[in-house]
Amino acid sequence: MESKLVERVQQENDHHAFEQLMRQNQSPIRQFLRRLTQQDQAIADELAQETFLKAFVHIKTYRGDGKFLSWLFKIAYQQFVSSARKKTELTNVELEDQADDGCFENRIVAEKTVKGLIKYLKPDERATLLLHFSHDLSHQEIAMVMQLPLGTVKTLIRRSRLKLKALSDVNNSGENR
Amino acid sequence: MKNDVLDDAWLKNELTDDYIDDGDFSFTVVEKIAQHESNNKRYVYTISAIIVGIMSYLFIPELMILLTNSPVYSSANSQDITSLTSVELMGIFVVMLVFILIWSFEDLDLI
Repeated sequence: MESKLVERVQQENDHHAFEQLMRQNQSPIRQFLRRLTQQDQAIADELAQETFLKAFVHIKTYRGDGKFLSWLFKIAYQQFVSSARKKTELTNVELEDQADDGCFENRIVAEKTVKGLIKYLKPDERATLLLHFSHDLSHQEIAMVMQLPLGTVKTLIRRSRLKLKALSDVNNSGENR
Repeated sequence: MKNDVLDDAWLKNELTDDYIDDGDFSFTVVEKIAQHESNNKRYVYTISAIIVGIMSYLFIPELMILLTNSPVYSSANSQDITSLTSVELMGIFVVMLVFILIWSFEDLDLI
Protein backbone atom coordinates (compact mmCIF):
# COMPACT_ATOMS: atom_id res chain seq x y z
CA MET A 1 0.00 0.00 0.00
CA GLU A 2 2.70 2.47 1.04
CA SER A 3 4.90 1.57 -1.93
CA LYS A 4 1.93 2.22 -4.28
CA LEU A 5 1.48 5.67 -2.77
CA VAL A 6 5.20 6.41 -3.14
CA GLU A 7 5.03 5.27 -6.75
CA ARG A 8 2.10 7.60 -7.43
CA VAL A 9 4.01 10.56 -6.01
CA GLN A 10 7.16 9.65 -7.94
CA GLN A 11 5.42 9.12 -11.27
CA GLU A 12 2.43 11.47 -11.19
CA ASN A 13 3.52 14.10 -8.65
CA ASP A 14 0.31 13.19 -6.79
CA HIS A 15 -0.20 15.56 -3.85
CA HIS A 16 -3.11 13.55 -2.48
CA ALA A 17 -0.98 10.37 -2.30
CA PHE A 18 1.77 12.31 -0.54
CA GLU A 19 -0.74 13.68 1.96
CA GLN A 20 -1.77 10.09 2.76
CA LEU A 21 1.89 9.13 3.22
CA MET A 22 2.31 12.08 5.52
CA ARG A 23 -0.70 11.18 7.64
CA GLN A 24 0.73 7.66 8.07
CA ASN A 25 4.20 8.84 9.07
CA GLN A 26 3.83 12.25 10.71
CA SER A 27 3.49 10.98 14.27
CA PRO A 28 6.85 9.11 14.58
CA ILE A 29 8.71 11.89 12.78
CA ARG A 30 7.23 14.57 15.05
CA GLN A 31 7.79 12.45 18.18
CA PHE A 32 11.44 11.92 17.18
CA LEU A 33 12.04 15.62 16.48
CA ARG A 34 10.28 16.70 19.68
CA ARG A 35 12.59 14.46 21.72
CA LEU A 36 15.66 15.71 19.82
CA THR A 37 14.69 19.35 20.33
CA GLN A 38 13.97 18.69 24.01
CA GLN A 39 10.21 18.99 23.63
CA ASP A 40 10.28 22.33 21.82
CA GLN A 41 7.10 21.62 19.89
CA ALA A 42 7.21 24.72 17.69
CA ILE A 43 10.76 24.07 16.44
CA ALA A 44 10.14 20.33 16.17
CA ASP A 45 7.01 20.82 14.04
CA GLU A 46 8.78 23.37 11.86
CA LEU A 47 11.58 20.84 11.28
CA ALA A 48 9.00 18.14 10.60
CA GLN A 49 7.33 20.34 7.97
CA GLU A 50 10.70 21.00 6.34
CA THR A 51 11.37 17.25 6.46
CA PHE A 52 8.21 16.42 4.52
CA LEU A 53 8.72 19.26 2.06
CA LYS A 54 12.24 17.99 1.36
CA ALA A 55 10.93 14.43 1.10
CA PHE A 56 8.40 15.52 -1.51
CA VAL A 57 10.99 17.44 -3.55
CA HIS A 58 13.51 14.56 -3.47
CA ILE A 59 11.11 11.61 -3.50
CA LYS A 60 12.52 10.35 -6.81
CA THR A 61 15.79 9.59 -5.01
CA TYR A 62 13.96 7.10 -2.74
CA ARG A 63 14.54 3.72 -4.37
CA GLY A 64 12.49 1.59 -2.01
CA ASP A 65 15.51 -0.34 -0.71
CA GLY A 66 14.57 0.41 2.91
CA LYS A 67 11.46 1.41 4.85
CA PHE A 68 9.97 4.74 3.74
CA LEU A 69 9.83 5.80 7.41
CA SER A 70 13.59 5.17 7.78
CA TRP A 71 14.19 7.40 4.76
CA LEU A 72 12.06 10.09 6.42
CA PHE A 73 14.00 9.68 9.69
CA LYS A 74 17.20 10.25 7.72
CA ILE A 75 15.90 13.56 6.33
CA ALA A 76 14.52 14.56 9.73
CA TYR A 77 17.85 13.88 11.44
CA GLN A 78 19.71 15.89 8.74
CA GLN A 79 17.26 18.75 9.26
CA PHE A 80 17.83 18.63 13.01
CA VAL A 81 21.63 18.54 12.66
CA SER A 82 21.74 21.47 10.24
CA SER A 83 19.33 23.47 12.42
CA ALA A 84 21.46 22.71 15.50
CA ARG A 85 24.60 23.79 13.62
CA LYS A 86 22.96 27.07 12.73
CA LYS A 87 22.31 27.63 16.42
CA THR A 88 26.05 27.88 17.07
CA GLU A 89 26.86 24.28 17.83
CA LEU A 90 24.02 23.41 20.16
CA THR A 91 25.80 20.28 21.40
CA ASN A 92 28.75 22.13 22.90
CA VAL A 93 26.53 24.77 24.46
CA GLU A 94 24.48 22.06 26.13
CA LEU A 95 27.54 20.29 27.47
CA GLU A 96 29.04 23.51 28.78
CA ASP A 97 25.73 24.35 30.41
CA GLN A 98 25.76 20.99 32.17
CA ALA A 99 29.35 21.34 33.29
CA ASP A 100 28.95 24.89 34.57
CA ASP A 101 25.67 24.42 36.32
CA GLY A 102 26.12 23.70 40.03
CA CYS A 103 22.53 22.49 40.29
CA PHE A 104 23.02 19.80 37.63
CA GLU A 105 22.56 16.98 40.14
CA ASN A 106 19.42 18.59 41.51
CA ARG A 107 18.00 18.84 38.03
CA ILE A 108 18.70 15.14 37.45
CA VAL A 109 17.04 14.22 40.74
CA ALA A 110 13.99 16.30 39.82
CA GLU A 111 13.37 14.24 36.69
CA LYS A 112 10.59 11.72 37.15
CA THR A 113 10.92 9.65 33.99
CA VAL A 114 13.56 8.23 31.65
CA LYS A 115 12.14 10.52 28.95
CA GLY A 116 13.13 13.42 31.17
CA LEU A 117 16.64 12.04 31.63
CA ILE A 118 17.41 11.49 27.95
CA LYS A 119 17.60 15.23 27.38
CA TYR A 120 20.90 15.14 29.33
CA LEU A 121 22.43 12.93 26.62
CA LYS A 122 24.20 14.32 23.57
CA PRO A 123 21.92 14.61 20.50
CA ASP A 124 23.55 11.74 18.60
CA GLU A 125 23.25 9.47 21.67
CA ARG A 126 19.65 10.56 22.15
CA ALA A 127 18.90 9.92 18.48
CA THR A 128 20.31 6.39 18.48
CA LEU A 129 18.41 5.45 21.66
CA LEU A 130 15.14 6.86 20.36
CA LEU A 131 15.44 5.28 16.93
CA HIS A 132 16.29 1.89 18.42
CA PHE A 133 13.95 1.68 21.40
CA SER A 134 11.15 4.07 20.57
CA HIS A 135 10.89 3.49 16.81
CA ASP A 136 12.17 -0.09 16.52
CA LEU A 137 14.89 0.59 13.95
CA SER A 138 17.65 -1.99 13.62
CA HIS A 139 21.31 -1.03 14.07
CA GLN A 140 21.73 -1.23 10.29
CA GLU A 141 18.78 1.12 9.69
CA ILE A 142 20.10 3.58 12.28
CA ALA A 143 23.48 3.53 10.51
CA MET A 144 21.67 4.47 7.28
CA VAL A 145 19.59 7.19 8.96
CA MET A 146 22.51 8.83 10.76
CA GLN A 147 25.05 8.02 8.05
CA LEU A 148 27.43 6.43 10.52
CA PRO A 149 29.36 3.15 10.43
CA LEU A 150 27.53 0.21 12.02
CA GLY A 151 30.17 -0.12 14.74
CA THR A 152 29.77 3.53 15.73
CA VAL A 153 26.02 3.06 16.06
CA LYS A 154 26.48 0.06 18.35
CA THR A 155 28.99 2.00 20.43
CA LEU A 156 26.67 5.00 20.66
CA ILE A 157 23.76 2.86 21.85
CA ARG A 158 25.90 1.07 24.44
CA ARG A 159 27.42 4.35 25.65
CA SER A 160 24.09 6.18 25.84
CA ARG A 161 22.53 3.35 27.85
CA LEU A 162 25.41 3.40 30.31
CA LYS A 163 25.11 7.18 30.61
CA LEU A 164 21.38 6.86 31.12
CA LYS A 165 22.02 4.23 33.79
CA ALA A 166 24.45 6.57 35.55
CA LEU A 167 21.92 9.42 35.38
CA SER A 168 19.22 7.10 36.66
CA ASP A 169 21.47 6.07 39.59
CA VAL A 170 22.02 9.74 40.47
CA ASN A 171 18.28 10.25 40.26
CA ASN A 172 17.56 7.29 42.55
CA SER A 173 20.24 8.16 45.10
CA GLY A 174 18.82 11.70 45.27
CA GLU A 175 15.31 10.42 45.80
CA ASN A 176 16.45 8.04 48.57
CA ARG A 177 18.22 10.83 50.50
CA MET B 1 12.45 6.08 39.48
CA LYS B 2 12.72 2.38 38.83
CA ASN B 3 16.24 1.67 37.61
CA ASP B 4 15.85 -0.80 34.75
CA VAL B 5 17.65 1.10 32.04
CA LEU B 6 19.54 -2.01 30.97
CA ASP B 7 16.31 -3.97 30.48
CA ASP B 8 15.37 -3.66 26.77
CA ALA B 9 11.62 -4.18 27.15
CA TRP B 10 11.35 -1.75 30.06
CA LEU B 11 13.40 0.92 28.28
CA LYS B 12 11.36 0.51 25.10
CA ASN B 13 8.16 0.93 27.07
CA GLU B 14 9.52 4.02 28.84
CA LEU B 15 10.72 5.70 25.66
CA THR B 16 7.59 5.07 23.60
CA ASP B 17 5.57 8.24 23.06
CA ASP B 18 1.84 8.64 22.57
CA TYR B 19 0.53 9.02 19.03
CA ILE B 20 0.53 12.65 17.87
CA ASP B 21 -2.72 13.58 16.17
CA ASP B 22 -2.24 15.01 12.67
CA GLY B 23 -4.46 18.06 13.28
CA ASP B 24 -3.71 20.46 10.44
CA PHE B 25 -0.08 19.35 10.09
CA SER B 26 -0.46 17.53 6.75
CA PHE B 27 -2.69 20.26 5.39
CA THR B 28 -0.05 22.91 6.22
CA VAL B 29 2.69 20.88 4.53
CA VAL B 30 0.57 20.32 1.40
CA GLU B 31 0.03 24.10 1.24
CA LYS B 32 3.78 24.66 1.59
CA ILE B 33 4.42 22.15 -1.21
CA ALA B 34 1.94 23.93 -3.49
CA GLN B 35 3.58 27.27 -2.71
CA HIS B 36 7.05 25.80 -3.35
CA GLU B 37 5.97 24.40 -6.72
CA SER B 38 4.28 27.65 -7.70
CA ASN B 39 7.45 29.63 -6.86
CA ASN B 40 9.57 27.23 -8.89
CA LYS B 41 7.22 27.48 -11.88
CA ARG B 42 7.09 31.26 -11.71
CA TYR B 43 10.89 31.30 -11.87
CA VAL B 44 10.87 29.06 -14.96
CA TYR B 45 8.16 31.19 -16.61
CA THR B 46 10.00 34.44 -15.94
CA ILE B 47 13.32 33.16 -17.31
CA SER B 48 11.62 31.67 -20.40
CA ALA B 49 9.66 34.85 -21.01
CA ILE B 50 12.80 37.00 -20.76
CA ILE B 51 14.80 34.73 -23.10
CA VAL B 52 12.01 34.45 -25.68
CA GLY B 53 11.33 38.19 -25.43
CA ILE B 54 14.96 39.17 -26.04
CA MET B 55 15.36 36.66 -28.87
CA SER B 56 12.14 37.81 -30.51
CA TYR B 57 13.03 41.48 -30.19
CA LEU B 58 16.46 40.89 -31.69
CA PHE B 59 15.62 38.52 -34.50
CA ILE B 60 12.02 38.98 -35.64
CA PRO B 61 12.55 42.38 -37.33
CA GLU B 62 15.73 41.06 -38.98
CA LEU B 63 13.95 37.94 -40.20
CA MET B 64 11.04 39.90 -41.57
CA ILE B 65 13.42 42.25 -43.37
CA LEU B 66 15.22 39.29 -44.87
CA LEU B 67 11.93 37.68 -45.91
CA THR B 68 10.61 40.85 -47.59
CA ASN B 69 14.04 41.17 -49.13
CA SER B 70 14.10 44.97 -48.85
CA PRO B 71 17.19 46.91 -47.77
CA VAL B 72 15.27 48.87 -45.14
CA TYR B 73 18.11 50.13 -42.97
CA SER B 74 20.18 51.49 -45.78
CA SER B 75 17.31 53.25 -47.49
CA ALA B 76 16.47 56.90 -46.95
CA ASN B 77 13.07 56.41 -48.55
CA SER B 78 10.23 57.48 -46.26
CA GLN B 79 8.06 54.53 -47.37
CA ASP B 80 10.79 52.13 -46.14
CA ILE B 81 11.05 53.97 -42.82
CA THR B 82 7.34 53.42 -42.31
CA SER B 83 7.71 49.72 -43.10
CA LEU B 84 10.56 49.50 -40.55
CA THR B 85 8.23 50.90 -37.88
CA SER B 86 5.55 48.41 -38.76
CA VAL B 87 8.11 45.59 -38.62
CA GLU B 88 9.18 46.75 -35.15
CA LEU B 89 5.58 47.01 -34.05
CA MET B 90 4.93 43.51 -35.33
CA GLY B 91 7.98 42.29 -33.40
CA ILE B 92 6.73 43.87 -30.21
CA PHE B 93 3.27 42.38 -30.83
CA VAL B 94 4.81 38.91 -31.20
CA VAL B 95 6.80 39.43 -28.00
CA MET B 96 3.60 40.39 -26.14
CA LEU B 97 1.86 37.32 -27.54
CA VAL B 98 4.70 35.11 -26.32
CA PHE B 99 4.46 36.62 -22.82
CA ILE B 100 0.70 36.04 -22.72
CA LEU B 101 1.17 32.48 -23.98
CA ILE B 102 3.85 31.66 -21.38
CA TRP B 103 1.80 33.14 -18.53
CA SER B 104 -1.27 31.23 -19.65
CA PHE B 105 0.76 28.02 -19.10
CA GLU B 106 0.68 28.77 -15.39
CA ASP B 107 -3.12 28.98 -15.27
CA LEU B 108 -3.45 25.80 -17.30
CA ASP B 109 -0.71 24.17 -15.18
CA LEU B 110 1.04 22.85 -18.28
CA ILE B 111 4.55 22.77 -16.81
